[in-house]
Amino acid sequence: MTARADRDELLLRYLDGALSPGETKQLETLLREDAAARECLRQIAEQAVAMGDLARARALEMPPPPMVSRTRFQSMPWLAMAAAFALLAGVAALWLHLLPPSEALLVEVVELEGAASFSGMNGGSRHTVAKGERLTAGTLEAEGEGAEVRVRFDDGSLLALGGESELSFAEEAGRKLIWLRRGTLSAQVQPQPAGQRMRLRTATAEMEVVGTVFTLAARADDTLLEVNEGLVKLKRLTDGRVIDVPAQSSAVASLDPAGMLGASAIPDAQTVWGFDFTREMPPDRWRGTWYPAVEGKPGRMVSKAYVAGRAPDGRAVTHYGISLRPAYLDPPLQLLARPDSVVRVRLKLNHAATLQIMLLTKTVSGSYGGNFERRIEPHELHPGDDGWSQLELSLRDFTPTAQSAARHRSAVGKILNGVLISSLETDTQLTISHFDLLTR
Amino acid sequence: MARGERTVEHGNAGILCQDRIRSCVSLESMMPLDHETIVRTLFAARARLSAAVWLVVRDAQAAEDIFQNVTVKALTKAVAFEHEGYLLSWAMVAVRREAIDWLRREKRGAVSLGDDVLDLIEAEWAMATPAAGGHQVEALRDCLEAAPPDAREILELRYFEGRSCAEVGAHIGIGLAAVYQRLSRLHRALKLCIERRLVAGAAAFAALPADP
Repeated sequence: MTARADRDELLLRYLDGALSPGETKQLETLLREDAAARECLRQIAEQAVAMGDLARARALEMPPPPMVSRTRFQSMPWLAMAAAFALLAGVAALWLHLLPPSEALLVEVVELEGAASFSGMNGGSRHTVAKGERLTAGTLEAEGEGAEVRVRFDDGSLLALGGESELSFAEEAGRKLIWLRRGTLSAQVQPQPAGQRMRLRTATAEMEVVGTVFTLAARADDTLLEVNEGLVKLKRLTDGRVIDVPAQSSAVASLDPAGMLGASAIPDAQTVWGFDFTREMPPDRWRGTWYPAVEGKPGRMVSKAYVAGRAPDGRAVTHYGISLRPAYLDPPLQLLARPDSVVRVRLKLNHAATLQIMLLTKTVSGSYGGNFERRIEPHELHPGDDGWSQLELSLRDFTPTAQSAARHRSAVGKILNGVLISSLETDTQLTISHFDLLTR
Repeated sequence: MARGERTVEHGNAGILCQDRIRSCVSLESMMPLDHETIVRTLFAARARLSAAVWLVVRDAQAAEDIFQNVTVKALTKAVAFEHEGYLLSWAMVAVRREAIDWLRREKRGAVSLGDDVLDLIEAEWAMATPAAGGHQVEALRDCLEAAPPDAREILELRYFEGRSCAEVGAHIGIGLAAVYQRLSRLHRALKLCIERRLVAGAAAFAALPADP
């Protein structure tokens, strides 16, 4: 046997786990001294990993993962983001973004509140979407805190994408593939054909859906699933564990495989709740910049800019807002709007301006409930000597936004997905110290 | 501002505090990589990071899982990565640590190469430019796809299914020594194939007309 053949066999036997401790020492000495042996070992390792990729791709009946170069990512940012998803979604390294580009129309935009944009999977440029538009496979983004986009598949399944959320969708051999990259999604899924269950993914979870109503929140480190009707199979991607989440239950799939994974009954919706920004740090998905108490100055939340919509010329309309989203609390909460519900806000502005308080809702059965607003004119605020004002508003006085008016009459009886308090197109340094939902 | 961070007032100076680690640095000194850059950078280095893991664990699926875990950690890590070099250095350390943990947990008694040897090998990997690495892996995939079915079967049994060489031999009806010889020849053939493809690729690029 030649020296090279001896060396190769030694390397292969190490990789086979067949070396004695003495032989391992011999191999280590060889590798320290012989660059060619190190190169050989590197190449075997690269070939082994590549072989694994190819075999895995074939097992999934999909193409191998793309070779990612800087140039390619720069020219196709969608792929870059899809790659992030693929990484986080385990074996799905080859999932949604590798489907062949398709021109087939998949969904229709049936309701749109605020601004939303779409880019096709086949590389189409990003454009602002309009109600009634039909979309191919691609990525839809609800821009801005108060945005809401509802799309409908041909089979009648509805997806409602919440504000500041991003969703990719495609169809493969009749099966709907959905990836919620960030934000919230409510879904009413019609019964799917046998063998073609809808598959949804987030960075931390995968779900299979036969036909059901549920809400999904893709948060930084976990996924919250709430099932209102039917049953959803939830897989935690970090360890592959699968659980069934039945109707009226919720589950959280986190990045931590040691964390509990189980379905628990959705707690009864609360009608009284409050958040004290002077003491509590809000979840990082709430809009606003939180300032903790420093040197005797109480904590507070100050508004941040967001895109509220698009002017006819395409210009972004910017509002400055603070949001409260109970789904992002730990544990998440459900807030129910009753006929005698009141919101109370303690706030401050650095100059007078019209404010908007918007309620983002869903129905108790989990479907989209519409957005409702109340405008506050400057004369309605009565600041004290310290500049702070306290507002109390009955939920009955909230009216549906223009986009919601046709289908949703009142916030009463709905679940509050979020409350968004904004100054319109003017940065007033809107600041909030307390928010309460009460009954009177 | 990155996730999990809130601006905190502190006198007149802007400082950035991270919720989880409660440490603050001056805003001026911090330009963290965004998530897209982190993913792009790690994906570009995926071949060598996964291969470095594989050298320790010798299990393709575990190598993939560990690479993904480390990517998740990079995206959810409280400390910001200020440049790609730092990210890659951190990732190389992280994958090796996870690989050794995995080996201790899943294959008790399995022997790994010493740290100094792994350091040498990883340093040589790090010297390869990402662009060259990308072309090389593309060429490798082409070569693997073009390999005869029996060759692919051996490689797949050994490296995808994770069977030992003795099991591969039993499966295809040859002895252990013959498996080592075949694998050795296959790896050499793949190396030659890659080199040829890279040369051909370079020649094809060289033959392109110059930009006007």
